[in-house]
Amino acid sequence: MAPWRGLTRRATICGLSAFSFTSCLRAATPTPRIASLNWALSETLYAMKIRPVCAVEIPGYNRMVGYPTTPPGLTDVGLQSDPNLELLASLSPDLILIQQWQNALRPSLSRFGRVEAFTLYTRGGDPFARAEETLERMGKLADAPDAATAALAKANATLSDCRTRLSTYDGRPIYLVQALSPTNLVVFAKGSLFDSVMRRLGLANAWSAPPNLLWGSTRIGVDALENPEARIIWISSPDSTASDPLFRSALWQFLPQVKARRAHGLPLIWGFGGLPTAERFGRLVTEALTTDKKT
Amino acid sequence: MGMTALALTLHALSRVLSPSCWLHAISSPSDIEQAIFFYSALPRVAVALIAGAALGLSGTLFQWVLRNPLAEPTTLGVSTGAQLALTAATLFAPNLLNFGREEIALIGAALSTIFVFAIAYRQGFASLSLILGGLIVNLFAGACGAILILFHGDYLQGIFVWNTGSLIQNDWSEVFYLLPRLLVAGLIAALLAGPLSMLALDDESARSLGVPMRTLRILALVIAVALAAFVVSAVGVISFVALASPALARLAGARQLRFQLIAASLTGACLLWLTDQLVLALSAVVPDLATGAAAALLGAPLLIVMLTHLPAPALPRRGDHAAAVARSRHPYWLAAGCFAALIIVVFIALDLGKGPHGWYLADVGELQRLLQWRWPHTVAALTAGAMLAAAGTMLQRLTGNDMASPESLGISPGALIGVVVVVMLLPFADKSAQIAAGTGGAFVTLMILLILAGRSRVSPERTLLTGVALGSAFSAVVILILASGLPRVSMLLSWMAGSTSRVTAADAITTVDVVIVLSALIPLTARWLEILPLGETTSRAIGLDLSRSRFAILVMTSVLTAAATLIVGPLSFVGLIGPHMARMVGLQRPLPQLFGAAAGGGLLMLTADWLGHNLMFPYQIPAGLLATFLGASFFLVLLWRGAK
Repeated sequence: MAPWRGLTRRATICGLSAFSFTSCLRAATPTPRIASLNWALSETLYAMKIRPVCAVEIPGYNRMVGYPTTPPGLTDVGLQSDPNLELLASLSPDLILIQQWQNALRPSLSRFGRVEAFTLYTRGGDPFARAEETLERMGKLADAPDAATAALAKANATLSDCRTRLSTYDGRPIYLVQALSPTNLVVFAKGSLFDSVMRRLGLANAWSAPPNLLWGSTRIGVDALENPEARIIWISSPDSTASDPLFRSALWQFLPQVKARRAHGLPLIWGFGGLPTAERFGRLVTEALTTDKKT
Repeated sequence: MGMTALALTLHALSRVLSPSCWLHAISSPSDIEQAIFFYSALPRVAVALIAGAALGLSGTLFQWVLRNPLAEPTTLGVSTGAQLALTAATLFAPNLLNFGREEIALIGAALSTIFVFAIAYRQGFASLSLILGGLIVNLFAGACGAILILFHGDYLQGIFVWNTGSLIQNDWSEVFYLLPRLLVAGLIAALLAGPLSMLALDDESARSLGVPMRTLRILALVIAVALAAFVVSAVGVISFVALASPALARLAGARQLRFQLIAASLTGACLLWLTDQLVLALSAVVPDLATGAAAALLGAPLLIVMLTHLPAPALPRRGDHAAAVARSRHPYWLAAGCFAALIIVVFIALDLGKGPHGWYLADVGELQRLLQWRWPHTVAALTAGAMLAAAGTMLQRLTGNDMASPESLGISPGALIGVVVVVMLLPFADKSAQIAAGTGGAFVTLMILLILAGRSRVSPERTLLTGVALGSAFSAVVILILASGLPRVSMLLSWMAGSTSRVTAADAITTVDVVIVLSALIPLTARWLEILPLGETTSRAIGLDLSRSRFAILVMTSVLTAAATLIVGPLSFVGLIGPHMARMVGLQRPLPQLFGAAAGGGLLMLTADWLGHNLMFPYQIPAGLLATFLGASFFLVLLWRGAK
């Protein structure tokens, strides 16, 4: 096969833009070589327009997180829970970023670079505040405090804009759910990123009981959505064969909230992200609530 | 039992909706309480009853046809097969699920059943070979499932729910799905019951009465498998109900198959109903406990009790097919040869690897750079494999049973649970705390085994079956923990699957130390290991202090197991395979077998580790999982040959 067959126009443009993108990044920010071993930290880096030397589970990130997009041509060093140490070492990173839950990796990672662990989620904590701190600290570590300030300002501007737009919202509390199987849901409670964003937007979470799963969620059946006056917002499941039968079921259709057309869907948003995910969720939830008012 | 369930149900239902409104709710639900009553609470009871009855029926058919009191969908790997098929379909072909989840579950269940039967066929469907085949399928499917979840955990969150067997309902669709299938299956079973009772006679006399035994058996098994697959595709894996209800039915005095079928269906229905109502009643105290998981937790102790009351099935004694291989004249040279082969493989594993640009052999300079990454996990995998194989050899000689191993006796899962508990309770537990916890877990499991075995006068068969029961209880606990939340538990998952890449130089040296100390101690047990397989009576006649020698060997075994499990997880088959490998090359005396097994086990684990680091570069497949695949395949070959 002729070698130029594979070189389409699209590929060329992609390649060139990738090249210009990386070179401009490199010129603008003399950052240390950063290895991001975590999705939430990767998205925070991308939001600051910092290009790490590698990331983890890139295809999975693109499917489950997706925003901000992964810079093209980034090296994938394997699983978040089990990164490829040899490959990582060959990239000679100065700074390795992990979340606290990956701490078991620290002994092996600290052999070739500085390891920094971040805590985004704690029982009953405020993940949004943690996400802000994480971004600021990452900016400092990456020698890019300006990028951090800019990203922080952008996120806060988006959220305060959302807050203003929501000032006309009727104030109904909101159940935030995601379908796991045709009969089981996850409801996001206090301690989840989504809950802490809703608080900042002045929205009340209709689920007041403390979470019983890690990171601020609880598994429930449809019958647990007891407050008839509430609104239901569901986040799309990665697997629609789980959610479709649930939304078709008799009980779901009978829910007063659904009957009164107070149930809205959002696209897939990853539940355990950092500040960029928080910002995106805030934007999407505001859109869902305000466009509904007009119709 | 039924009365308790009924009382609990009435209580639960009246909490949902006051009884005065019940009739109205059923005829036409008008408000949300009535809707919850009609679409959620009632179908939940119905599904529990129907699924329980289906499982009871399925278990009875299996047990009757196979003449094996332990046969049922979960022990035979039928449910696991269905479950794995559904997981794989969710991931790779979600459109198929819209098309038909039932068909996928059926295909998975059928495939695993055929697989188990193919294994057992050569052994004349002996009780143990069936259960063993089921064990292999369960391990195999468990390893496949673990790999899928490891690589796509976030995507597969729903699968965790399915694994735990949730009975939550939100309309009547599952009821309308299961009920007709149960009725048809029940009808066929009723028609078959008469001719099937002839099975109590031997095949010859049955055939002379004009009963086509083979066709009948296959038909009954097809129904049993289908019922299990229906239940899995409707509500997920629910273990234990199918095992216990036929036994309870027999205990209640149902001897004839006809009565057993009816009694077991009723018992199964009541059992699952009761379990589900208990889960509901406890939901304020123990939130988020799914019914299937609760059944498994409640069931395991019951299973163990049952084991002590059932007549022990006769297991193949050691040496049945071992004698086929001539004993080597020069066992020590042979063992040395094994070690030489091992050293060569170690060098290959250290030098050959995959990088960003494909396969390459490292030159000296590069090797120096790579070695610091490669040697700890290579050495650790090697020693862990060797330790497991040594432990397996000792256990097999101790119990006089070919199928004993740390994995099959539940010692590895025991060590695992110790670590899991510590990690969950103390999120920042360091390595030494984990090692201590793992050892503790292995010891406790072993003590339970010893105590239970002591009650039944240390019958090897009982020990093995108790171990299998313990193992399944542990896996229920692990499933519960895993369902409690991603992604934090993914670290745990990767470790449980036997990922060696986190092993540091210090860890590797620790395991080597353990190996050195124990290789000094183990030769002291050689005489015991030679005598014990001869059986209790002989051993005692020769003048062996049975309990003391057994205790010493079990303690050593548990140390070996705990140290190995910490590195490669509880899944691998190496402890089972290693001793057989040694015997196949002709190493039959205790010490040569021990060393040969250690070399073989080390080799197996080393290969798995090396493959795991290179097959899907840069993604790493845990060594324990790959060893399970290698080991299980090897084991199949072994069973195949052994049966000839």
